[in-house]
Amino acid sequence: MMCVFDKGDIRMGILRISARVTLAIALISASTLAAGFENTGVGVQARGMGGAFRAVANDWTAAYYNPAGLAYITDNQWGVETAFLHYRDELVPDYKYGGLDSVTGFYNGLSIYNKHRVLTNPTGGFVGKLPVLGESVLGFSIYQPFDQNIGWNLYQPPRAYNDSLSAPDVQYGVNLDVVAFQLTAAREIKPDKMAVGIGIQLLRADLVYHDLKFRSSPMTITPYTDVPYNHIPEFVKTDGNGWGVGFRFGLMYKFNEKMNFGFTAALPFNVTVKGDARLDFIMPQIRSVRSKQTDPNSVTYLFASGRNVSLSRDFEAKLKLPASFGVGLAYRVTDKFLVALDGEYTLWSSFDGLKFSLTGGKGLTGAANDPSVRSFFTADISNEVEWKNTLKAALGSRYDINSTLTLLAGLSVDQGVNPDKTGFVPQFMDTGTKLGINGGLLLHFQTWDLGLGGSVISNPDLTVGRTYESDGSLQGFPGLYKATVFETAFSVAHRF
Amino acid sequence: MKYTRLLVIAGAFIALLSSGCSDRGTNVPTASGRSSWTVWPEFNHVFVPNPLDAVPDTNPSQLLMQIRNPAGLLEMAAYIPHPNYVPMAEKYRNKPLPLLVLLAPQDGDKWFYFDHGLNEIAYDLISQGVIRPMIIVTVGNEKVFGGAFYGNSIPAGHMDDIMGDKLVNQLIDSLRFVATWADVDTLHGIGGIGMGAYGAYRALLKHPGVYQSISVSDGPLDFDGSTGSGGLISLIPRVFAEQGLMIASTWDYVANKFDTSRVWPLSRMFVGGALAFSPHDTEMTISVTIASNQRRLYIVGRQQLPYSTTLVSNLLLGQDIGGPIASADVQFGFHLPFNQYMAVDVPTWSRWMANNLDSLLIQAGSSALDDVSMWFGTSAEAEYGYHDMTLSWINTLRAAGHDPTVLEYSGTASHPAAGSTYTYNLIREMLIFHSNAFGE
Repeated sequence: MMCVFDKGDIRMGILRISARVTLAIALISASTLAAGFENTGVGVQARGMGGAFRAVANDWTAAYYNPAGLAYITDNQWGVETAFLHYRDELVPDYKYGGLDSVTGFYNGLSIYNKHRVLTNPTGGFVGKLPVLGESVLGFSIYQPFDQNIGWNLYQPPRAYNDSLSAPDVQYGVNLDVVAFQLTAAREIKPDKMAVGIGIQLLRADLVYHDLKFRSSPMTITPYTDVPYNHIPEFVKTDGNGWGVGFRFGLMYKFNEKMNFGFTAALPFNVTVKGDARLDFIMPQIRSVRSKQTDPNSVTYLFASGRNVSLSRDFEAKLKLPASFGVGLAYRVTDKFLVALDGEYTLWSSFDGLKFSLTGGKGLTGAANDPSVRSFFTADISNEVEWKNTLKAALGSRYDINSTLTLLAGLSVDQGVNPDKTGFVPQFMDTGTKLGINGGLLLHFQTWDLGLGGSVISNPDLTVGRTYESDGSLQGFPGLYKATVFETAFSVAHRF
Repeated sequence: MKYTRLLVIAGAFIALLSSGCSDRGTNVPTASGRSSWTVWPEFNHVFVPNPLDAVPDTNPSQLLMQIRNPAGLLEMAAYIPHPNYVPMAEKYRNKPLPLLVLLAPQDGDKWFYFDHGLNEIAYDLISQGVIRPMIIVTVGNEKVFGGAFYGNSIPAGHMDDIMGDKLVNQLIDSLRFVATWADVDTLHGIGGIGMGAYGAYRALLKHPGVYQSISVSDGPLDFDGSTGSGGLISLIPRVFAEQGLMIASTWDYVANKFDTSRVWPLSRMFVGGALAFSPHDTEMTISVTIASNQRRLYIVGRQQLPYSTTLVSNLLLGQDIGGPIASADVQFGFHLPFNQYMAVDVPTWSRWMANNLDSLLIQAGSSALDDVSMWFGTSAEAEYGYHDMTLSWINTLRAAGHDPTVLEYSGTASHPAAGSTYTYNLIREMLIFHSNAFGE
């Protein structure tokens, strides 16, 4: 007996299988791991498909998603895209030192929003068949593989600690941009069957990092050792940049006219970031103690003075960017309808945070330079993390309504890098397995393609409890975290 | 139709963009700026006995014989919330201010509470409407040994006479002088931490009706503890250890070795207690003369304890009693409450126990605490066994039919609730308690 399936059954079957695979990955993700500061995507078409683009990779953004895809681009083309990102995050601090509940200065119990910023993320690229390297297709593109930008105002010194000085407007924050200048070459190694591509990247990293650390007072007598003077805030701001290199490798395999397979590997090398660090200590202001001190240059006066002790130092930090591997499958259900499924595994465990090495220094004078307290002002400012590798899955589709209009839709599920919440800090709002909902449209006018896309990435709410270090300081930043990312992207591409 | 569809889709994107990217602010509270320093630093006063002598210049201060306090000053500072400098609810403006007296713990001077943020805490709580404005007077402890339990003796000073109406009336008079805009309410509270907690209850029991509320945190509130053999008794071996003393066959060994000049907290506490409760001099007659405009004081008669056991007489710092001009240097002896065997010396200890709060409660009568609101802050991590002593006193109060409010708290591994680590937090709780007790 012969089984007969009509084409509609096959299409529905593929969709059902795809949906189940996505759901299964989402469930696995929810129970396992997360995604750091990787960019959410490049290009309207790929974004609109939720990033499920490895096995599609049919425009200039292939440089990012799968360099091998360039081999199948027949026209020369250039394209630009601008994405507008808005991190719409919320944090309800629960920062307490324990014991008899203290007024720590944090806005505990209040819903605090991150600083409002609509971030622009421009990218662009060129693809062409140049009279070099034979049949190879070459491309050059500029995009941001890694990006993080968030700022928080969560603290003001308690009145009894110091009501003469204000905390900086941003106390916890990061503005990290890693821009890749990528030269890509791709060629078919089996005609109409298999192609490979490789991209060589020059990476430029710019890092502005804000942090607030609390130092145990080095003083050993009351009232310096007592609440609230025993936790001295140190506001850290590092501003630097550095260069590095990286590679992207891609393979595209066509099973048949309908089904493509893609594989990619991204291997960024460490980027050494160098720059200036500014350290500001707001000293306790104990008016009654200060008035009893006779020597304004003494250490005991300094730690009751309410002054701002400001240091400038040089810093160096290694930015250990994670390697990643991905596979993708694309199936052309009909001439007009295409579905794609992607999976990406990112080795976030290689990123161990920001280990700052400080040298030099200006501003450490007078009592602050006294041997008994010098180490207090020059303590380590590193923020180390223990992240886990993550898995991202994406399901996308594109549908050509007619020769002018293409609709895009996609779903993505992306694990969080810090499933056990160890040392969770508000600079990296990766609260867990994220769900991305994406959509977009492409308008084709002769040789021009215009794109408009949008996405919402919803993070799960995360409650980080209080865990104390042996010196009484808190591990990470406890509180209730909520995060959502809104993106809107516009693109223009021209084929010639 | 095609364009309508496009418009709808584009509109949806724009709606998403505008809703997702609208500025909602940060919700950070507005900083309220610098607090005013509304502290009157010199509220010191020389208290004299009643009735006043005919010639005031010859009238010795009640603290004249307090060790190294030749001017006889009771050192005090006052927090006075002026409505022009401390934001306060309209209903409290032009309204009499209640008075709160806070006694410093061992080694605490009149700045102790200000050192732990009293001015700023009060400013914060008043401006936020958490507490009603109040005048807060802080009293420093005895200086040489860090404190004499606010006791009543020749070397400790006659604090019992001072700490009631006399203190309150003096403060009201002074406040009328320095804060003409303010009127002092009839509502009075008292509080203290550590030795100040004992002093506050002592004042309350010696002067029923003067204070309507009391807030204290761990202190020597029951000298023999909950078991009758704990409390301060259990600290005696630690005093020996501090001093490097061994059990000896004679008291002379201890008396000769006992060092009163070092900053040993337990030794100093026992010396302070001995000066207050078991001084060698039990009575003293002083002759005051004025010659060439110089006041001279002479001790013309002394009555002393008849026994020499537990007496320490030759190591104590001397006492200048000549007022501005030193005219004599007197050594005071005192009897420690333990013997050379590290055991309680019964005759001396009985003098201490006569000053224990449960004894003072019996003397005052249980009704002395009627209508007094009471608050305790206590932690099992408190030093010197104060927690047990505090709980024991709380139980005594409850057995007498009182119902104090008790806040049990703890510190952290790195910052245990010992010493004055959490005084800042306790002050907040104490002010809120008194404000509630004062009412609207």
